[in-house]
Amino acid sequence: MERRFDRALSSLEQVFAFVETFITTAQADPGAAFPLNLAIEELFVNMVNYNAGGGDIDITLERERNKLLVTLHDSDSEQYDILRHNAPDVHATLEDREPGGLGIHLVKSLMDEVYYEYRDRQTTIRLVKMLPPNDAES
Amino acid sequence: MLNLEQPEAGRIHLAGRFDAAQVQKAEAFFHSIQSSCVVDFEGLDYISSAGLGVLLGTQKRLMQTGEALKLVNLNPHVKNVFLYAGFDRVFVIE
Repeated sequence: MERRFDRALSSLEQVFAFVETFITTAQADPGAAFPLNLAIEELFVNMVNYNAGGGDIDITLERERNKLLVTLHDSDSEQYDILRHNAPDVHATLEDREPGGLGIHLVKSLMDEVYYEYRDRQTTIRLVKMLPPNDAES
Repeated sequence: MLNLEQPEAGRIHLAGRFDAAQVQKAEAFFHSIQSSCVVDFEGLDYISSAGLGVLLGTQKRLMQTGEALKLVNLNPHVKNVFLYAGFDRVFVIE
């Protein structure tokens, strides 16, 4: 399934509805909706906040056996390699904690694989979420 | 959609989804909280780093005067987000 979304925080509700439809259509474990929503929101919001001048954002959701595959595509963007992003210190005390950087840390924590590509101003981020073994497609 | 209510002094109920589109509304609500509160997550289905940021900011502000938020009734998915973020060190979670 592929859908194009306005680059705006107000699109999030439609993004979540899209994920829900996908989970139902793909007959995947409903518990996968939460990590998928969270990973997509974090990356989508980064694209909205740090590349305000770009166009729409494409999201593709696919199921391949026991894997859920997510692709976010931004066709006009600056380069920001999320894989080189420094993880926040999650052991820091309250005084030293900052909310910035947590989003990408959560994406990496909740997804099984994360890939970043940048070419000709196009950013493509691919995510893989493994389904539990008993959720294998029959 | 996120619902925020303070049914009685010292208690806050959250319900719905605490995502990046709800930050402005949530910040306005939490800004009015000046003393320790129990935040009941029972109706909250979802939270992202945007929601964590609002709660972190509130906790930092309250701790300056010796007050704090205590979080209760988190569903397992929401609780995991707090654990991955290391926020179990920042909040009392029951």
